[in-house]
Amino acid sequence: MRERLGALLPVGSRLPPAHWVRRHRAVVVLLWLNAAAIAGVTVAHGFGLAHSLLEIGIVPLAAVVAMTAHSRRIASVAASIGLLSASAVLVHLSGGYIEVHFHFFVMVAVIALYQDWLPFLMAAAYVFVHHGLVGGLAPESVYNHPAAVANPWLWAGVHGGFVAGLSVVCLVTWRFSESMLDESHVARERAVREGQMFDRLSEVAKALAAEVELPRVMQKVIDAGTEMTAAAYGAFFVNVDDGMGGSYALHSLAGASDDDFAGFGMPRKTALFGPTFEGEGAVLVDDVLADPRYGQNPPHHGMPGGHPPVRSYLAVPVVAPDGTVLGGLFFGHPAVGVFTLDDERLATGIASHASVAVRNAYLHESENRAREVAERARARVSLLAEASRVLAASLELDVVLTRLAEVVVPELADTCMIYLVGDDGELRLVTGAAVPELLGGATRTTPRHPVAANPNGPVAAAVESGRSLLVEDITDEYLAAAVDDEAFLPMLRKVRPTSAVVVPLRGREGILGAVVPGTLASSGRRLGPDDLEFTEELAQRAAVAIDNAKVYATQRSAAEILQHSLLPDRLPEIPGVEAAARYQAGGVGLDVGGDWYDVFLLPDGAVGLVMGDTLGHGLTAATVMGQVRNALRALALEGYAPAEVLTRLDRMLEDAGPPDTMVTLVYCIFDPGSGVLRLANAGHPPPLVLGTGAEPEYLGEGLGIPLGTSTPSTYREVVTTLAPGASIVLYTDGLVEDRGVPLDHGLDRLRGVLGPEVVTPDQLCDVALARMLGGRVVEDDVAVLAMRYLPLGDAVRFSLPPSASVLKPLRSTLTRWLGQLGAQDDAVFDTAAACTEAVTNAVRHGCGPDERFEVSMEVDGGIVVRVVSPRPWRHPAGRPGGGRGLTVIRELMDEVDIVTGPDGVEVVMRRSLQGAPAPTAQ
Amino acid sequence: MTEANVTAGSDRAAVVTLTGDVDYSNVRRVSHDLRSALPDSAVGVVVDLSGVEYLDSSGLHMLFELHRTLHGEHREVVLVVPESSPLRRLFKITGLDEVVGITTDTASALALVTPTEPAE
Repeated sequence: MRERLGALLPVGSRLPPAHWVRRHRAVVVLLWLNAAAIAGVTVAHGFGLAHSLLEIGIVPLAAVVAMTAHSRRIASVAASIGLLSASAVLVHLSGGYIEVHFHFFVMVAVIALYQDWLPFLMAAAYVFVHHGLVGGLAPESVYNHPAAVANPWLWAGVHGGFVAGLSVVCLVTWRFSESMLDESHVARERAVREGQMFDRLSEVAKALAAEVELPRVMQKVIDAGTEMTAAAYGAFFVNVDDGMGGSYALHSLAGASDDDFAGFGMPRKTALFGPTFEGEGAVLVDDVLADPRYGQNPPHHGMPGGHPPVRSYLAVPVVAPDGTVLGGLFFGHPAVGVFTLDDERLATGIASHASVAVRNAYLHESENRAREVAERARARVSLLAEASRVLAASLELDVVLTRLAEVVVPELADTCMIYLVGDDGELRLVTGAAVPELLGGATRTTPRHPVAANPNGPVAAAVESGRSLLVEDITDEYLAAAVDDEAFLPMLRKVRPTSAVVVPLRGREGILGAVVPGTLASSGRRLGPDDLEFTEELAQRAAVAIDNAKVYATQRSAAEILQHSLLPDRLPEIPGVEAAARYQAGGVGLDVGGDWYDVFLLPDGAVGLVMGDTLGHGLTAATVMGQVRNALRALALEGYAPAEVLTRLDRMLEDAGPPDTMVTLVYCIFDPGSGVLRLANAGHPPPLVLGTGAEPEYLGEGLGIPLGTSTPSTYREVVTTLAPGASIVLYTDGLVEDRGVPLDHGLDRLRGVLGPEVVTPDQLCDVALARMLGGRVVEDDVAVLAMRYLPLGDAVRFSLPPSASVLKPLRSTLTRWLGQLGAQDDAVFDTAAACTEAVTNAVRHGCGPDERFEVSMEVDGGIVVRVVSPRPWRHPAGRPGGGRGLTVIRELMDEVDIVTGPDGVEVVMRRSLQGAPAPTAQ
Repeated sequence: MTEANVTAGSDRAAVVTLTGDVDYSNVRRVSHDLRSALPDSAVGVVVDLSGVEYLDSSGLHMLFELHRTLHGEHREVVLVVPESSPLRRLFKITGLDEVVGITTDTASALALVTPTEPAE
């Protein structure tokens, strides 16, 4: 009853301050107008000043209080008293004029403007008391008609009744005004709340817009949602399309750690969760345990054990604009009835922002994926181009294989093994490479012992069938079945291969082998179908390079064999001269050059020296070189002079040589007896003569053009005499030519580096190579040949092979030596003859195939010549001529001792330098 | 360079000239060349050794053999060796001068190998 009455009655004191102030101000103005009106009426009635002041005094007083009071209550009460007092004064002044009473009605209505019980009730009480009391005491001051004066209480009641009616009407108006005010207030509050909600959602949206990584988007969504709905727990489940036809679930949690949910599966389409995952709309449950949909689904029939306690439940689907359900937002609280419709709306709002953000994240991811794919593709294209380049850059098989492995590791895979089919048909591991960190150091490991591929393994199968193979997951069983090498398998097991690709290397004439990139457990990466495709592309290029390298190796080795067979194994040993030669092959990857040198002994005991250079490289050059070398030897042995030899060679090349061949060549003949050197040169860098005491000098420039130029040419000859101790150095252009440096400069350098301290032919060759090339491997082949005309001292000693070819130069040298000593002609002849006989015996009988004999000559009064051979002469006297040899020795020398022992034979012969030999005992 | 060349001669005699050194290193070739140079028709052979600087025991042996072969065929060998040549001492030491005629010039050598035929 009371509540009902309370609901009907206005509340009061609820005017918003702005409204109240406006009304109050109007009331105060009215108050002052009344005061002025009262003053006017007082003056008109002619009252005295004191009376007038008394009459009007209360109204301005009330007005001042109303204006200055801080409290709304006091101000409104003062104003009300002032207004009603004004009514009372006016009635009084009018002498109870009944029409003036209407002033009361107007003032009560005005006071109702305050919509406050205190001034209102006071106003009603004032009227009642005034009319009752004043009316009762002095009716004529209140009423002006007799009936009222007679019955003041009745008329007070009449007036009171009308005022009460007015009051009721005012109250009703007031009440309506209040409820109107309430309604607008609620609307505003709601607007404010919604504005806040909107703001927060906008913030969430803004925050989400800054995120592109799906997990972070999800975490922000669920964090914001959980906070805004004041939930205890929140979970956001998303079905992620992996872009490859599958999907997986991601979740983000708020209010609980991932560990709390670690044991649970993803929420399924249960009766409770279903509507969310179907995208049907929000589900708001005050108490989930009481919900009929709860606990209906096996296996858990409700929350699984360990699930955070949930009573209040709110779930909204996250739906993409196209209607696809991306996932759901789930909120929970351990208390009942926590979530409101506002929370639902909030959650729904967040869900819609979430769907946009998740979509963006998807787009970002797929864009990233697309970019990654594109970048990977681009990287692979450039890797392939690079591979083609590096693979084609070498013709050395080893280098090609190493580079292939280097292209694969580490860009494509952690390891790379290359198998090749050997000449014997067996498939072997020939090169391996691995990312060093994964193997603890070694970048490239070429197996120490070749590892034969398991004939029943996948590599052999790929080579057999020509089909590539991708093993995406290598198990230990697989590994054990694939590799049967007892040493290799444990090695592999240690590094744990995880995946591999086997691609056959398809050469021009069949399958060459296979390339096998692989990954190891330590890197975490795996090879996939696109890696297989890439390896196939790579293998195509590699196979071409391997083919080329093999062909090249065959050709090169043929040229090498040919060239080596044409270069002298060792130089002939010629008493009286010393010679040495060096051949430095050109840089790796280049063909064999056509440089060659030759030293041979001519029938008259002279030495032939040749240095030549065939233009071009490879098999053709080596072939030409062989032809020229042999032709030259033949011509030389026929006794042709150097210039004649060159002229004939030129003609031969023109008539019978391969087209477009050109040969530069120096040929000299040196006579160790006289020291005469005859030299002809066909366009070759000039030999250097040195050790003469004077400055080194180039000899034989401009004597003719190269051979084979199809220009009829005559070759000239230069003749000089070498002093004992002098040397001649022949070489090919590689020694003195350097890119960008004039030839003259190289020649000057060579002359400079071979100073007087460089004496023996070995030294000359080594110093020339070392100083001119500085240890670098030049592109071109380089040959150097040095010969020194040995100076002969008082004692000369030779260690010689058992070859008859030494006889003549030995005799020349002995003759030279004896001439130096001033021996008479007879003594020279006799000694040379005896020595020849002794040496002939040593050559014929005194040495085994690899043994040497020694000849020494010294001055000892006369001269002593010793010939020591390691084996006893077999039946020297029994052979035709042999006996005469001993006779000659004994007859021509002064003294002869022939000692035959187990270590061979020593012949010691003495002769004076003058006169006839002393008769010797037979 | 040792060479054996037929340089002159008559219907009945040949003159073979040797030059250079003859030793074990080239004696087989020189011997072959020498015999090849001999015309079958020649009844006498003059070997001119004026250009030979040196001849060792195998060269001596070659000359002994040449003499033995030709002597069996009733053909004569005469050597031409200058008086100053050291070869003369070798021939003396080994007794070659006792089995073959030695002259100092080709003309007298030819006269020796082709003695006037007894008029028949």
